[in-house]
Amino acid sequence: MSRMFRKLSQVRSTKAIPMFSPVVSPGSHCPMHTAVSFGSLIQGLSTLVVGSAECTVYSRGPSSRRRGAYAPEENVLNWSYMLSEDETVFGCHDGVKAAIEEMLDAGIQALMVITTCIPHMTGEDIHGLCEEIAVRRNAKVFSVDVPHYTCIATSGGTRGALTGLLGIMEERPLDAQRINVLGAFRGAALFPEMSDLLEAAGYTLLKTGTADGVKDYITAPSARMNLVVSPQALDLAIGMQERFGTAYIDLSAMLSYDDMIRGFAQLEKALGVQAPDFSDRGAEIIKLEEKVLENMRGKRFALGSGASQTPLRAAYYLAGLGMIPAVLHIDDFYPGDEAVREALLEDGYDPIVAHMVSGELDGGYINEIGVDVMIGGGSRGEDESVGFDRPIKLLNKCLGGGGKGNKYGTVSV
Amino acid sequence: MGVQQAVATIRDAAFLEYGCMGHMNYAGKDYKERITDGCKVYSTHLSETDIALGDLKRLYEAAETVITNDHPKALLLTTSSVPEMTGTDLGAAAMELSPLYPHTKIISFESGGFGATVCRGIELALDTLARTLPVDCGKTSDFTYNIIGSCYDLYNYRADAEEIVRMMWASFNAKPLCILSSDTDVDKIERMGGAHLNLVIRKEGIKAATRLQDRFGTPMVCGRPYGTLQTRKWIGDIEEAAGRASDRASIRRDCAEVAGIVETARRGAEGVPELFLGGNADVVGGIASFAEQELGLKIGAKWSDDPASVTADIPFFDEAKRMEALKAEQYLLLANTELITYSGKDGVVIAGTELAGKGLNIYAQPYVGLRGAANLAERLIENAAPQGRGGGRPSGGRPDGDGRPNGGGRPNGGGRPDGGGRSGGRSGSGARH
Repeated sequence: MSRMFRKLSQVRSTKAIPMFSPVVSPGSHCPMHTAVSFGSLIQGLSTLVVGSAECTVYSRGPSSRRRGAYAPEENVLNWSYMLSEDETVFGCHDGVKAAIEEMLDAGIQALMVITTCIPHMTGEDIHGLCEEIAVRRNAKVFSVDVPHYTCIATSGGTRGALTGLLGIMEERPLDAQRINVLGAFRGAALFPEMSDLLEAAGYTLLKTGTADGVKDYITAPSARMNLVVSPQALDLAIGMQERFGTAYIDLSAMLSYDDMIRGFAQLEKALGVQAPDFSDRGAEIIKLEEKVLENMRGKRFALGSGASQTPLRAAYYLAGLGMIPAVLHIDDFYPGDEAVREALLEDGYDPIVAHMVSGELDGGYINEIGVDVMIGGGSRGEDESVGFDRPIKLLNKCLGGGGKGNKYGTVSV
Repeated sequence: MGVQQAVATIRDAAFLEYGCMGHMNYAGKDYKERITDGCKVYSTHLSETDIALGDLKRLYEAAETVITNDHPKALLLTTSSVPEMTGTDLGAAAMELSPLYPHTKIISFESGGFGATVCRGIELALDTLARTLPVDCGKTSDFTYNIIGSCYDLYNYRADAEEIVRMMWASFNAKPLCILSSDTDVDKIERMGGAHLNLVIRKEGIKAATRLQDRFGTPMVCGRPYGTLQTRKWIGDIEEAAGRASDRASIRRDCAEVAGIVETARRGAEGVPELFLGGNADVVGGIASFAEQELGLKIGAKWSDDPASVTADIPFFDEAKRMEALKAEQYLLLANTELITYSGKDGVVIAGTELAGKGLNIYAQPYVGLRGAANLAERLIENAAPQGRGGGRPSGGRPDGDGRPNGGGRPNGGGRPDGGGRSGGRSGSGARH
């Protein structure tokens, strides 16, 4: 093989995930971009990107396309602070401070300051600056540090932004009927059966992830419970539990039918609701699992960048059905992934792990390695809504592996 | 910045950035939206260890992969801001790589440091291309010329270059050898020395043209002609520089036709408010002169959105100054879409990088030359009256396929940055691009 790859046993953290190809085209998102993109979905949240000329230009897309650069009707500003030559040497503290003050003077509700590679390299303490201003002016200001060279994960921006939002949350009296759904964005949503159940029981579900207001985040600690539907929101859930004592259930990790039944059981215990019988859905899943066991046993598979937000869990699930994980695209390691990693290794699986974001080039290497099924090879992420459809989709993809081949000799599904 | 705008359109080449992959992802996406063919763009990505240890292994591996897979005629290297900070010597890397791949020209582009704006980057990149690629060759037997400075940072760049090509054919029976760089390939750049004339259509191309003049003795004509007066003068300059007579009958006929349209427009221009123009200094200066001299319109304010590209009467306006200027009561704004939308006034798009889905129409009408004069005249008087309707209607510079102007254009809340964000200051509408 012409290229040395890193195996799961050699990779324990996001920083250790190597690129699959030595050169990328087109590559994946900068976490600055995903932070701005996520921030621009939250009504009332202003953003300030601090970085080089490139960063200030490329951040305009997500902020202005969604809402307009000025969005005066919402009293939201999406500004960027472009570092001058002098500031790369002598620091940008004063300039950034003046910019934040100016934005606050303009009457914005809350501000997310996003710092990129150069301020990180020069060691600017933007986090400290934001804390100082937040206290002095009693303002909702927090920072997200997302230099791309330290953070290969595309999700780093959303994850960082979500965790940063912890900083503007306030201790509130308990609203026993409120439940936060954390991380409901980019195709991730609570499964309909669960939201129906909770809403029927009189609970208000606040989907703090998309198209909601900054106020929902400020008051989020009043909720009785957090339901996490995306692994990117796990840090926030853990942080809220530590700071405000808000309990959470991690639904994002649930893939098999048993997982989901366990999830409902947890919910029943915590909220006293009575889940209906889902054995029909279970039978559907079990039938597919049996099919995979029968037809796909021993087949080597690769999970591409569009396969799953939780590739380790998906790999473990499929390994349990007799398939062999050969190559995994991993964007990020999330809380709890370490245990899955250990379990995979203990079961004797040590797949190649990498960041696969180079389309055809990656396909060439996949071909060299030799896999039977390539799952999620496209760059577009799948609908990751937690629920019964999730394993059904995954299993159907595996079974579709008997379908059309591609030019790499493998099968893309 | 600016290197990409000057080189990404070169066919048969590969463009590799030593830097974090996000840049190339977005730059590549933006450029693919607007350029149907060009070079393939790559990034090495970077990690902390590359920076801490200053190891260029990643760059070498990337170059090897690109050359082995794509066999480009030229590998164009540049850095992003992070290696710029650490002082990566890309020139040395290119020298080390060159002997390993004798069939691929490996060229490193300086981006000019943190102070460099798009215009500065384009100037450096065009000069680098003129310095490294052209080979010794004799002049062509026919009258040929190069266009220097047609880059995709300019609005309507493609249509403007096409109008120049059309006029050169109509006036001199001349054909282009190389349109640097919006419509070219590596071979054409190599043969640039064979041209009889270099037409420099933005001042960032002067350095490259001077280099070609010194080496090949090719005369140059600098100018971006808007309207009939500027076009006539420009043709006169070409006659003089190239020592060739133009087809005067053909030009006279064309000019008379367009002059008629312009005259009609002039009569209908009553009620058009003062013009405010912001964008590239060459574009702003040319359009302002045309509007003033030929359409009789009043010019209120003119500014450049790039500090590296200013003239005596077109200063650079940082964002604060632009915002201040736009507080005026009444004006017609010729600028980029985002600024027009922000102003709440009527406008004509003359600047901007056509990002965010703009510029998809590759058959647009030009602004320069004689056909450009007719196009501009119509767009400007569209906004004649009644006054005070406001509402920020960018009159898109993009007619429909059948040649009908698309009237009020689409108000675009999500326009792209208009360039020239205040260096070291807050920059509400983005920064340089």
